Amino acid sequence: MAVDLEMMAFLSAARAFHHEANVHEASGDVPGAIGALERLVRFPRPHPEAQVVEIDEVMADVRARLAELRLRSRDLAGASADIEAGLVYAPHRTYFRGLLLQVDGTIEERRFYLLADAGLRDEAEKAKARALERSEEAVSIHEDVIRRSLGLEGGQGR
Amino acid sequence: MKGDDPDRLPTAEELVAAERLRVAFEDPWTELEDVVLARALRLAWAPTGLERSVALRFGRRRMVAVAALAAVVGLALVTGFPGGGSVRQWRTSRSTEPLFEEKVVMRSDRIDRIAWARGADLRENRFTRWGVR
Repeated sequence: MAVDLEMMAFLSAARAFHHEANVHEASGDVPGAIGALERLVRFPRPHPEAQVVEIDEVMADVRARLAELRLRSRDLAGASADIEAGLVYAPHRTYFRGLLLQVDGTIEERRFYLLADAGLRDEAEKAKARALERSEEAVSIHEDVIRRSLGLEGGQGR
Repeated sequence: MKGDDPDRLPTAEELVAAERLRVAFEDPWTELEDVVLARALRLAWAPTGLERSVALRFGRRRMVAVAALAAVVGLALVTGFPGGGSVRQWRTSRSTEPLFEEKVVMRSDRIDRIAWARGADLRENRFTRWGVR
């Protein structure tokens, strides 16, 4: 897929949305930051028939950031939905998949605390198990990313 | 310019071109590309006001165009011109101490802040690598 104006337009818009989110976040306006990034998620994607690695990475990354922001807003269900949506764009063992799983681990950790505080022991234990599982998966992927960069293992993506 | 001898006399063509450039610099409405660019560079470095009569004659549309060109050139001076000697503004590794000016409640908050801050830097670096200005 050759780099063209439409692809650059998308990337430039993505950068603008992230900076809008930065401005909102810096002033403590988390809903505003979420709103800016949701516009990026809904932004028209050029070349929908083709796989564009850069766009997939942007989509995986923005879903991870959205999930973190929703976690700060105590919207755990929304955060988990963002992770699931983001993983579609990061099917391989890349940094972006590792990032999404790491954020998912923190979501499950928060879920564990909330369920435990509510006295829902069984549900809390399940969340705890998921938190550990997701975190370990993230660590494993990030280890692969680093090992590949050191030439210790083959593989694709960074 | 022909030859490398700084003491040689200018050619007739060079004299004509120089005179055309001098006249163009005196003409506030010139369309000569080199003059427009030079003025844009000067305005980007040291913006100046226009006399009211000149401003009125200059016209709002052209002023907007020159201001936009000045902004683009000014930005290019910082980020590098396309295709030549690009000076990219990479976010580099540095101390995380400024991230912890206030009290941090949980230990994991420290790494959360580091990862968040450097994640934003990574995002910027990727956009820069892709050539998004």
